[in-house]
Amino acid sequence: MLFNSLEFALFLPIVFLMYWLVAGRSLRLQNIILLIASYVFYGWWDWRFLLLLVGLSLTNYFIGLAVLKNQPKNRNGLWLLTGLFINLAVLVIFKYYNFFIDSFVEVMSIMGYNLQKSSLVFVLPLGISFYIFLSLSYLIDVFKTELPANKSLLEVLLTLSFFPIILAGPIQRPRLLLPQIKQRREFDFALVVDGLKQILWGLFAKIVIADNLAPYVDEFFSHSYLYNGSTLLLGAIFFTIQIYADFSGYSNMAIGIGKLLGFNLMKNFSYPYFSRDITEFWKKWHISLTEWFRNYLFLPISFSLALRMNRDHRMGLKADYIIYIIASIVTWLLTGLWHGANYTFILWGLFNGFFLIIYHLFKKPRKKLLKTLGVDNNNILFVAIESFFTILLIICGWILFRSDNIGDALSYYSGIFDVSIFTIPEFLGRREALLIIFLIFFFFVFEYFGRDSSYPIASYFSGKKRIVRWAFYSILLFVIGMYMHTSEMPFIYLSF
Amino acid sequence: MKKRLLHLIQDLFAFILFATVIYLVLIYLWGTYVPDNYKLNLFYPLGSPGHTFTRLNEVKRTNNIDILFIGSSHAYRGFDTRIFLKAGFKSFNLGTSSQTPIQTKILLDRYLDHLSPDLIVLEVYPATFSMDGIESSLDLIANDRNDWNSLKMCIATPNMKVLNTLLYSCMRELFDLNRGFNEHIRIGNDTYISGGYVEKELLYFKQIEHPRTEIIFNETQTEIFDKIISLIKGRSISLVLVNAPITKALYNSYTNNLAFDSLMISKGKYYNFNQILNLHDSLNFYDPDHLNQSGVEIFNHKLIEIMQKDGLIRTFKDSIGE
Repeated sequence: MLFNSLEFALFLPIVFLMYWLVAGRSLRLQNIILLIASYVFYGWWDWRFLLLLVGLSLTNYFIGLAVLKNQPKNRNGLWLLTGLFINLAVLVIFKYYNFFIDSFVEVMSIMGYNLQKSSLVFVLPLGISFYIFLSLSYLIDVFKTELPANKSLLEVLLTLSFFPIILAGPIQRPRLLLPQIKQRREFDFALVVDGLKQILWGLFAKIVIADNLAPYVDEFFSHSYLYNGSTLLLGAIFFTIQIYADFSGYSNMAIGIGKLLGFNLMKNFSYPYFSRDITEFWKKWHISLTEWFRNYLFLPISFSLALRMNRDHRMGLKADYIIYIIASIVTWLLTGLWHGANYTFILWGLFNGFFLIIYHLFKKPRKKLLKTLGVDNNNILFVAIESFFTILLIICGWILFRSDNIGDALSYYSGIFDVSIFTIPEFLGRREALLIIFLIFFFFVFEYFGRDSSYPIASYFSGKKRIVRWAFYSILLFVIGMYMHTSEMPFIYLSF
Repeated sequence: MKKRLLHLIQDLFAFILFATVIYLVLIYLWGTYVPDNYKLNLFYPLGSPGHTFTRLNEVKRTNNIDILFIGSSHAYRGFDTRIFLKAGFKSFNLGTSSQTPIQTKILLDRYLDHLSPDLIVLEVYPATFSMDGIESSLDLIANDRNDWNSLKMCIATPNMKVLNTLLYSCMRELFDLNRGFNEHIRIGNDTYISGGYVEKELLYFKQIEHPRTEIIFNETQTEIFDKIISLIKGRSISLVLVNAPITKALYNSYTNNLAFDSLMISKGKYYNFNQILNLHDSLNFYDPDHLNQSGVEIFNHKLIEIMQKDGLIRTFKDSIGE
């Protein structure tokens, strides 16, 4: 079931009313209703994969108990390793099996051995990367005693399958979600209204902006050889907007739905395209995933390297830099791979890692240069130039991310970096061009002026008369009704 | 807590009411003043090609016919009511552009009792079974009087464009804004003939190639098609399913014609004129889908001949005393 589907439009009010009317006074009943709703929501797509989710959640529950039981005497982490192995094995089998086998066959064929490619094709269960990462967090946090001991099966199962976040996050760490699940939720009028507003904005971003851009992006990327450089550049810009509107829209809806049920879920986006540098961008884009990798991969690798390094310098570089470079490369390689079993994602991950390292290395020289030139760090022109180059970099990265393979990405780049980039994009000749540009403008005006709030329209018109607020939401509903893309399109991140 | 929840529900209802009013006002303003390019989900094809407006006006003044033709543009451009009149049958052609079973059912619910035909010739075209029916829904909403059936059609084709157009159309009806509208009998090369047929100025078709396509049947359309069959059978009206001729190039591009034929045979008396007639793609058609007048004459005379041979027409002519 997708947030932008008719079924969900019926499902959510039913769950909402049952949750508050039937189970309002009982924590246990609240959690039972949410668990059933979560399983119905997930199983709607394919009940067989619900079995996988339930099976894995049960396994993690029992392993979590075993980890708890063996603490603090047995801290060798055998149970943790078992848990990590099982979860990662499931992820590898469903998501990467074909990729690894096919890559192996290709490498062997280069070496002169002709092997048959695997005829076994696994269907990717929806949201598997998200719920496996939730499970890994759970086990690691239990092991590190960052998560209080929990023996309630119901609470753990719900933590690992909570329907607003099960398909595409935010990857809410169980240590932040479980305490909310353990406490009876009180009906909060203001929180529910806030949730409805956030859902409204998410819906607008997804079905008006992202879905209307999708057909153009698909066309430009699948037939890039037909278009001139300026059109391809526009296609890349469109994808940059599409993926943001799509995923931030999803996250806003997920967080909004959480609020309807009395939960405070973590923020997943913080206006990333208004970033000044790539580090800032990655602090604001898919925050829950970036934090996950930082907490469970980047920092542990950094600490472990720091413990092993006994010299201040190596190969002429400070040890700090070497640690940062190694930890970044590993983290970004895996971040890329997390997004999908394709070399384009791996390269995209490394592309980001490379520029983060460059930025890190040039942080101090940059500061010195500014001081020498006498330019204030907050000089508006300087900020604009840096922001422009950052977004350009991000757009270049998204081309890799969106392309089906490396070859397609290279031909897209070569199509852009052509003299035809100085022509007028063909898209502008289309009759719907002005409308699309207007919708994008409308979207970013709200994003820009609302960037100090948790979501763009959170504080618009707050304190104003009810009629003004209602008129605004009604107009937004009208814009959705008039300009939404009429065929239901899946969220981009569901395929990860 | 229940009090606060009740307060929320009350507020929500009040907001929905408020938002509905704003929505209707904006729909009206958009529909009336905003150019077509800038209203993505509103399309009001009043007086659209195919003369639906004129046809649906005429059907209201027509009753007690012998044969009712219904279906897509293959119907209103393929069954010439003048030829059937010459053969002694009073007929009406209720075809509309891209009509799918959803709209066929709506039109039958609206006009079947009133027309009271003895025989229905239901034109069946595989592609209409794969469509969502939006184009045809918009055509009916804009060119016919809206009623509960329009709402049913809107539910059967859940789409914002259909809903917005229905709202706009209802407002136009409420304020009687179509009062002065009159559709020209002749639009471009098309001439509307009394009885619902649209005659195209004699043109010939230059062959084009079509990619191989498999028709994937839409479940909703096949379900509604079954309801149409039951409705007609329930009224004891004779029914003939006709697959009207299209160019050979187009017909052969469909990979599952046989499956469609078997489906139709299972539903009732079925004639596939792409198998029965051997028409010439250039001389008898003006585009891949539609016969020119010479093709229509061949097709209609053959249909009359076959129906007489199979006792369909004779049987009912006898029953009315001829």
